Amino acid sequence: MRDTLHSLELSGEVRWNGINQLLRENGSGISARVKHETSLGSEATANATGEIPEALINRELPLGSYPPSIQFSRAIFDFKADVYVLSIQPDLQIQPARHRHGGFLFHPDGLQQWEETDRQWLMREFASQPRTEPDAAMLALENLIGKLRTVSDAPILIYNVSSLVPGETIHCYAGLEDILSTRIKHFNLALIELSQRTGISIVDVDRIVAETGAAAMKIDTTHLTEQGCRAVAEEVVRILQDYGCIPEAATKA
Amino acid sequence: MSAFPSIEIIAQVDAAEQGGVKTGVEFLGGCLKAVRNGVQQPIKLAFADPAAEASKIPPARIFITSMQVELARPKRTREDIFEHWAGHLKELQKHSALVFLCTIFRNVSNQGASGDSIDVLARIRELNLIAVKLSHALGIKVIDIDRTMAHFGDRVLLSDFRMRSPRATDAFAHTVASAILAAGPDDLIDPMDQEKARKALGDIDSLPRLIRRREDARRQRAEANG
Repeated sequence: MRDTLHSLELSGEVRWNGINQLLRENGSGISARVKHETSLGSEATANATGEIPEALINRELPLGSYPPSIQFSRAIFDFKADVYVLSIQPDLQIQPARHRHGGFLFHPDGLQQWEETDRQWLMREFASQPRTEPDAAMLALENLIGKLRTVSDAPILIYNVSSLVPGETIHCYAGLEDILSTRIKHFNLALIELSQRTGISIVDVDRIVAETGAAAMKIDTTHLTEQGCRAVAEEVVRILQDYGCIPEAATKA
Repeated sequence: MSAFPSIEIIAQVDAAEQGGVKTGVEFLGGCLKAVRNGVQQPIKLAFADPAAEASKIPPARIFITSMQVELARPKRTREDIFEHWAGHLKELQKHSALVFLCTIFRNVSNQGASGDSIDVLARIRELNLIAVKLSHALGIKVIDIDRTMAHFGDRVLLSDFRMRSPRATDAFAHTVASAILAAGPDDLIDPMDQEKARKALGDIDSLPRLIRRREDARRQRAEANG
């Protein structure tokens, strides 16, 4: 999501400059300020208090893009945005651990780089969680949407995920109930039902990729090429035009 | 009399898909002939009425059907769709060594222009997931038309789920032939010949070359015919 709206950098080179590249090409004079934060998933975001739990304070861990300040951030509720853009990808792919006493969720990102003492601490303090199933994820997402709507009427857009897994050639699914492409299909369908219930807009990454072809649009299962980023950003602009967030005049070349 | 057993195939697919199945069978026959020094294996293809019940369909070694058949029907619940298809496919499995179910390309032209097309796309997604679940439950094979066509896209294949272009037909056909060979029909085709034929057919990355070759051939035929 960040790649499509903010920027895509490959091999140290900016290959796509985000939604503002489109707005500039349109000659509108309008620019978007994109504030991006990583997420552990809908349950964690919905329940974030803004305070880092005591168990994590003063614990130096190489958490990469998931520092405690972000993992427990309430920014999505506190920041007054014109548009909120979420994604089902964290619920699909991140499996946070749960603190045994405090009950809070925590993502041990970069675990392979952790010191052994920190790994031992993790195993003592946290219990691993099973993967989030689509129904539970949508319940958590609906809860998050409900909380967001108590503080803002701004449109909420949610990205689905392309279910095309490069290189997959399966022709019989007997015994393969849990593969990623099937899981993504479940989530994408469940998101349609969530949209029907709550009125959120879906940024249909899955359809957009299929329309032009995964060969041109995807780098790997979850990352899009420059062309893919542009196509998805164009869809976001189209949806925002429908909402009136971007005036019609802004789309004239 | 042929040195090889006759491969009997019945396809119960949407009218829009019949061309793809027919061409797929031609690809299969062509690859086998190529790896056997020009010796042909008889392949008989017949089409069954999409509305026909399984008990009314004659037995065949290979049976191919498609979720497009369901898409053409009035909408019903997922549970009803699964139950109907599970019963239908189980019946077919009694008479066919290999049962294949085709998915539907998840692209609908004029998406967003009308509520109908949005509804069709949602149904396609639903049906493609049910196809996977049927494969889990029954062990039937999936001919993943959706995966192949989504790899290249509407803009390259010049068609949405309705299979309206020769390129889409060729992509469909390649996927059918690949799936049959990948399913290991050992009692019909010698395993070594299956491997050689798969190499001759090529994988998904060879599809653009195949499509171009066939387009060039069609163009030359058209020019020759004036």
